[in-house]
Amino acid sequence: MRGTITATGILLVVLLAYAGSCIIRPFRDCWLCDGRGHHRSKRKSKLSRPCRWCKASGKRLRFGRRLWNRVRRVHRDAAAGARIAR
Amino acid sequence: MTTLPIEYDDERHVIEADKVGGAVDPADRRTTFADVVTRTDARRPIVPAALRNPDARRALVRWSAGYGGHTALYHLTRSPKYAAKVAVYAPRGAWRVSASVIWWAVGGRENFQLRQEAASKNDPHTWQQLDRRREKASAARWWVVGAGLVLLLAVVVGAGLAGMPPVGWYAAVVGLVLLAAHYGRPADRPIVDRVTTKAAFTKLTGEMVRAAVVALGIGVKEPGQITFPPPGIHKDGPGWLARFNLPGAIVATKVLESRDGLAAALRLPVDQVWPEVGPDHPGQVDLWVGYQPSSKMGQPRWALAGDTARTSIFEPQPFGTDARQRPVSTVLFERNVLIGGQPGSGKSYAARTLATIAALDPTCELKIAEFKGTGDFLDMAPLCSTYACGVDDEALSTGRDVIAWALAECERRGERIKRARERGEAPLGKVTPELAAKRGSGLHPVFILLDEVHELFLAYPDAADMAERVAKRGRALGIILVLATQIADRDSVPPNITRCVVTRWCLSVGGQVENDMILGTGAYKRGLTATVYQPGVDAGWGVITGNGKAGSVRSFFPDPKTAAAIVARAAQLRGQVIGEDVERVEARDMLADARAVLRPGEAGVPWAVLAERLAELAPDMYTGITADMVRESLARYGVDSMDVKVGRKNLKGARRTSLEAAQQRREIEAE
Ligand SMILES: [Zn+2]
Repeated sequence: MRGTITATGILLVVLLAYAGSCIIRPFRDCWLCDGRGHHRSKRKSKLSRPCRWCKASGKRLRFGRRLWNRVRRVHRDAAAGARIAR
Repeated sequence: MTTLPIEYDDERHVIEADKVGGAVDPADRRTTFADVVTRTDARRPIVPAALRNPDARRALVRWSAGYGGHTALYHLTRSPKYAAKVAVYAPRGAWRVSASVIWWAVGGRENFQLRQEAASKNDPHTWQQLDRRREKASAARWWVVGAGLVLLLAVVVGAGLAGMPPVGWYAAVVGLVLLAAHYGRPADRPIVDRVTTKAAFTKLTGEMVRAAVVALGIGVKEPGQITFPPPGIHKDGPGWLARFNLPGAIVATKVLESRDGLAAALRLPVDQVWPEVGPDHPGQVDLWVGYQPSSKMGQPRWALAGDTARTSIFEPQPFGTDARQRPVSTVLFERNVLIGGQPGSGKSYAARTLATIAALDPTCELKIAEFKGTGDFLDMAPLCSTYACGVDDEALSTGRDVIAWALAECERRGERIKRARERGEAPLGKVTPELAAKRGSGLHPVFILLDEVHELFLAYPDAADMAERVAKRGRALGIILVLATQIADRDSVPPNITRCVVTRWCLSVGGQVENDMILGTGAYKRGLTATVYQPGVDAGWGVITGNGKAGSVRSFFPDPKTAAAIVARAAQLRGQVIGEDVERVEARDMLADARAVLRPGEAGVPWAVLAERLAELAPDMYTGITADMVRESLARYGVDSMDVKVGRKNLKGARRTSLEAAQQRREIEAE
């Protein structure tokens, strides 16, 4: 019982922290290029090619924020649609 | 000049256009040095009006003490509840404060919306740029926060080293906790409960006044038309004073007439709203609104109730207060007063305040006659040289004797004043304070009070004539006549008397007619309306004219103990009764006297001759009587003014036949 409560508490805190980070720092470093925006080249002389995963920015939107943006867009479109329909 | 040629068939008319306008205003003049040094602009007083007089200060202190005491007890009983609330709100407040400090330090609010937008659009480049800007702003802020923390630490350590007593630490902690609770409470939920349930009237605002005046419908259309000259709305005594100008030619009396409407528009009781005509021009209103209705405000202490009070009838003495609780004073010397009001209006007490002023002047003789018979002035009887009470023949004839005495005294005093003037002691031909105080001068002030005087005038019509003469002549001679009555119509109190009396104090009356009978024709229309007072509730309130600025005055109303103390003090000041009782003058019958002075063979006498002969016949009674007075007095018996032949001329006078006819009529009526 106590374990469940503790676990729930910890989960809640972690979730809150994640939500906070989605607001305050919505971008994280790209996993593929480690936030550099381009791939490390094999040979030193050759120019490195840009990372396509993060479109060379080195940053990716957090999953939570991506989800949230999607939800909001859907909601907004629905509201706009309803307005037009009326 | 414009010419307009108009062509007709064969004629030619030249019509000249009218010349319109032209400068009528004089050119503006430059301000000269003389203008500056002769400026008489009203300066604002240094001490606020609410603190200027001792009574107002006392009232303020009393109110503050009462209010403070109540508030303290109220909160003390609720302190456990407050403690519980603080326990909840303080941690919240602490969290809120620290969070907002950190949020500020990291620059959280710096272009927050823009960054969120960038995130929503999945635009990492913009976001990074914006975030770099935030970082830049934030860098300096961390230094500030750090410095603040260091300073706080330094203060705490410093206080610790300096040996702050534990009380200090507790106080600091309590202060911090309360501060935290203040920030932690919801905006609509104060920690302490309200002391007063109803939102009491606390402040008069320009908006309120403007809205109320527009609502009156007296011609003010726009709220902006009403202007407030400096100093604007301010505290004055226990209330607020708004001085404002009405637009155009709207006069202030319009507002005064609809005082009820004004009170309704302000949502206040009528006796809390006191409009007056302002000092600068007829379109200016001084609207005073009390913190409380005057019926609930009580009255400041009467200066004459003091242990060392002593008055002089030659100096202003307070006898009442105005709506703003300021004392209203009067100089009794050279003054006759008419007090009118319906039963229950507090008439006798109003008269009593004036009698008190006279009583506390140890040189002043008192003669009081009261024709109600309830002994309102019984306690003052030992101070009076003559005192009568009742509606019986004895009291009424005493009243008449008092007036007859006063008339004869006027005659005697006239002689004395003349001699004093010759000696240079009475430069203006009237009693001076020195003469009044001089023993044996025979010119000491005399205060005559006749309450319910209409009883006397109905019983003895000639008393009214004598009273009129006393009112006219006695002023300069130190004889003060105060008449109080509940009926002031022409049959009970002849208009001649009302005309002679300058100071009129009209307490609660039933209607406009009664109001104007006491205050004079047109008083009601000018806004002097004593009809607003209700008998009993507003006892003592009245409108006074002829004593400085006309307005509302409420007479002082000492409690029985204070009244007794005042009388005791007056007795002690005097030592003995001033003056002597009146001699009982035999009642004279003017019709009989007129017939007696008619010489055999005369068909009639002109009024002037009749007046002279009457004065010879009974100097005590008729000295100073004029032809007009004789005519008016005899007209009451039905003696007409007719032509009387003197030599070859015809003069107006009384004919023997009319006198005889009047006598016969009276005899028939008596049967
Ligand atoms: Zn990448």
